[in-house]
Parts: sequence; structure tokens; C-alpha cells
Amino acid sequence: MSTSTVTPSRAGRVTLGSVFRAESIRFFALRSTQILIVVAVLAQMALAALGIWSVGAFMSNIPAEAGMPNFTDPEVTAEVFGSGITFSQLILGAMAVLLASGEFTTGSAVSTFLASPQRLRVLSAKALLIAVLTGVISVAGTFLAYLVCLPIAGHYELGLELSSAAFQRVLWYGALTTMMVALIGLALGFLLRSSAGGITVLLGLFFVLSILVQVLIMAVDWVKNIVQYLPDQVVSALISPTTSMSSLETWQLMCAVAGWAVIPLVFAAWALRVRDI
Amino acid sequence: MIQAQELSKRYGSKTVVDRVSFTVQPGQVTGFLGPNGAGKSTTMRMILGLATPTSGSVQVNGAPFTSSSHPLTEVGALLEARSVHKSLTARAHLRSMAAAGHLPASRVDAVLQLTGLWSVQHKKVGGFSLGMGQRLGIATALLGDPQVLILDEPVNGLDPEGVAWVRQLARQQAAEGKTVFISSHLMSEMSQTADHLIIIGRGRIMADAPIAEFLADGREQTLVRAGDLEALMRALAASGVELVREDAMTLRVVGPTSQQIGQRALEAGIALSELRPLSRTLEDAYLELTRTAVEYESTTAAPMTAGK
Repeated sequence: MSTSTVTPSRAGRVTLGSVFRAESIRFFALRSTQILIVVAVLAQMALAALGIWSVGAFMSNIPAEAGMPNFTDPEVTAEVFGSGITFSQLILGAMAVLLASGEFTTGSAVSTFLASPQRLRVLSAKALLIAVLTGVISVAGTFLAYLVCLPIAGHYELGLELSSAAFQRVLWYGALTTMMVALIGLALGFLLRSSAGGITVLLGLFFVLSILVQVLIMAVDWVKNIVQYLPDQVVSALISPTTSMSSLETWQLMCAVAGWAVIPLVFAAWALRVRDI
Repeated sequence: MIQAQELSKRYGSKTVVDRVSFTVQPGQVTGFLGPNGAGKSTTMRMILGLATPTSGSVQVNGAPFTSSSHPLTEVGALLEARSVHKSLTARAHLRSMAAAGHLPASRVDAVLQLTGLWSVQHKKVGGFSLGMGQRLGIATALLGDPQVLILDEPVNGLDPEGVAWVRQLARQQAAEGKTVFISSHLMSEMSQTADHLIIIGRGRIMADAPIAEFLADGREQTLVRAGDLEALMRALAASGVELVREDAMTLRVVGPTSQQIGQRALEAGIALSELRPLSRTLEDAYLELTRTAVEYESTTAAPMTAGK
């Protein structure tokens, strides 16, 4: 292998596929990754079960009244089931932050970018990896949560069906928005190069910003239109539309998801290209 | 081959590397010598595309490294001992690097054995000593059996056996026709490894020449003037001493130090009219060159700090 003429052309060649493989080897070799995945799935299961249990317990204690949501309707129950998904999404989002910021906090960026001096290829490989992975984890987590919730829902005679439109929304929109949150996290990791900073901004985006803007709504009317496009509002509008105050159409929400997934990543790509490692 | 043309790097108003041009030839070990903060690491980072030059350009084997399609077989580099995620095992890190370059798993085994890390391959890198981290960095650099080897202060933290091993490794790679570029802040280190020296101080190239040119085979040279030159020559004649008559009154002595010459002249009762050391050791030559260019000059004897 001492000269390029005897080296097989494939050996040594770095491609998007090979960087993707390198990233996944490293990703799964890390204990922190495995822990975060397990915690995210457990959180999703626990919050779904808690939601179903509390609604069931509440319903069995009071007589049904007119105007109350009918929780025997699978469409209504599924929304309760999916309302806790944001929590596991943020854990996976934090994992995505670490996937990018860890390169800079541990110094491994040097190895990474020597193996692939084309920096955007590294970003693409990481984005692909985290999007596929969090999408799959979200789908798997929703199914596991369903299995846990099924006996609880049965006990309280609540309707919870895989085939219901509401459950399908939780399943697929849940996966889609999880990917969105993860890509925002990845972008923040590359932009801020700090784990604590990236996770703080991600949480701020989901919890603080919404509250802040909602306070502003009182004073300024046009802010209401903006608040609907904030990531946490988009997630709840897609997963639990009946409890959400959103007035956006599905296609508008999809555009918002795409925007949140792509625009921060574009800034991250630009910063990664321009800044020194 | 590495070619830098007018390479500069500025951070704000501070110029770290100042219009540096040099060529690192294959088939020999080129030492990159300079005091701490002289711009060695920054230059190496620019060669590797990790830092973008403010102006100028640098090419590896005729093209910028950032456009390399086979980066791992083209260049292997050790920049900092800790360029690996702490929670990874040595093997996982190397496997990941090998996967990035479509390199066979046999290369991972080979470099683990070569660097003596075989027995700790399943240990987390975070628990490695400085020397082990350095060995892992060298293993990473050698993974693709690269044409160009760039090592930034490779012997830092290594024990004497490790230092000798790095020297031998560098020589062997150069003998195979590879380009070997090693930085150090110690002339003594370079004098034992390098064929060619590039000396940098305050971001500027101070010297760029074969090591032999820095000093004629590293021996002391002294210019001596005396009335009775014949008697002096008889007094100094010994094995390992070279006497060159410059003119009727002047003698150039190669070998002994000026103190030894003075001592022997005194013993022989010869009066000297002049006794002047002509050249110094390699270390002196280096200190002289960089004296005006050290970033942080110590006023008293300060502890030696490790290079970055």
C-alpha cells in the first residue's frame, strides 16, 4: 500500500457513505448515546402511560357531563397518549446537540476532519444519521408506549386504537417532528460548539420562547401569527390538533417543520465552512 | 510533498504566521523547529485544512488537502494527543477512522500492534496517559499508510523508549520515500531525527536548509592567532583534531573547545593573540536564530514548558 498505484482505488477513498458508517460506529460505541436513547424511549412510555392513567382515573371519579371530551373515543385518547412526546423529543434533541458539540469539546473534530477534510460531508453524514435514528426511535417508542398503555386504557374502558387517525398522527407526525427537533439540536451543536450552550438554547426554543411570545400576544396582535410557527407549537398542532389553538393548515405546518429542520442546518453548514476547526 | 506559498494567518491584529513559504520534500525527515508560540501548530493546521489561511496557499502533493478524495492514505497527522472522544475505546476510534476511508480492519490491528497499544485497545481513551494518547495519535496518523506524515511535537509525553521509537519510525517512513514533517521546540530532538530543518520564529521562517549546513558536522570550530603557530600546531595535534592554516598567524581548529585550546596553549607556554569560537553547537545556532523571535522570553531560568 505504499504507492497509490498498488492501492485498490476503493481503499482510502472517503465518501458520504463511508463517513456515515464511521459516524455510526462512533455513535453506537458511546455509552452516553445508548443511555439517552433508553431514557428517551422510557420517558415516552412513562408520560403516555401517566396521561392515560390520569385521564382514566379522573373519568372514573366524576359523572360524565355534557361538553366534556369523550375519552372512550380513540381519537381523543390518542391525543392524551401523544401529549408527552415533546419530552422524549428534547432528550433526543440533546443527543443531537452532543453529536455535533462533542467533536469540539473533546477535540475529536481534528480526527474527524482529517478523515474527511470536506467539512460539509461530515455535517451531511451526521444529519442523515441523527434524522434516520431519531425517526426510528420515535416510531419504536410510540409502539412500546402503546403496548404499555393498552392494559391501562382497557382497565378504564378508554378507546386506544392503532388504526385511529389520531394514533397515526402521533406515530408519524411524532417521528417527523422528532427528526426536526434532532436536526435543530445538531445545528445548534455545530453553531455553538458547546454541549451546555446547545442544549440550553434548544430548551429555550421550546419552553421559554413560546411563553415569552405568548406574553407579547397580550400587547401586540400580529405576534399571534408568529407564535404558531414556533417549534413547540408546530409539534402540538400536528400531534394534538384538538387541544392546540393553532389555526394553521397541515401544509403550513409541514412547511414550518421543513423550515425548522433545514434553516438552522444551513446556518450551521455556513459556520462550519467558514470557521476554523 | 508539501508546498506553502506566502502562507499567513492573522487572528484579529495578531499575526501568528507571516508570509511563510517552504517546501517539504519526500524521502527525508524535515524538522519544523521553533519556540513555543512561533506558529508551528497553526502552520500545520493550515496545511491540513483545519484552519483557513488569511492569505497565501498550501498544497499537499500538488493540491489543497481539503480537496483530497483519499485523505487518509494521502496524509496522516498527529496534532494534539487528545484528538479522540474520551469515552471511546482505542479500537472503536480506529475502527471508525478506518471505516471513513474504506480501510480494511487489518490496518486497525496493524497500527495497534505497531504502536504497542494492542493490550489496551479495549480501554477508554479518557483513561490513557499522555504517552499512550500520543501513541494512539501516531496510530491514527499511520492508519492509512499515508504518503505524507505530519507530526506536531510527537515525542511530548513519551518515555525514552517511545522517543527512540518515534525517531526510528520517522527515519523509516522517510526511507520508504514518504514525506515526513515533524515539529519540535527542541533542537536536540531535531538534530537526531531530521535531514532538513525549517526554523520558524514569531511566524516567520528564520532558516530553511539541510541540517548539515547549520553546522559542519556539529563540531566546534575555533579561530586561533598566535606568534608561534608551528609550536601551537604541535601542542594541539591529537586524534580528532583538525588543524587548518588560514594564514601565517591564523589557525582554524576543528574539534576541541576554545577552553581546551587555551588550556593546551598555556601548558605549552604559547602566547595567543586571539582565541575566537567560530561556530557553536546546533542548539546555540538555534538559540541565536530565535533569540529575537521568542514570544515569551524568560529573564531567569524558567521551567521548560511543553510545546503545544
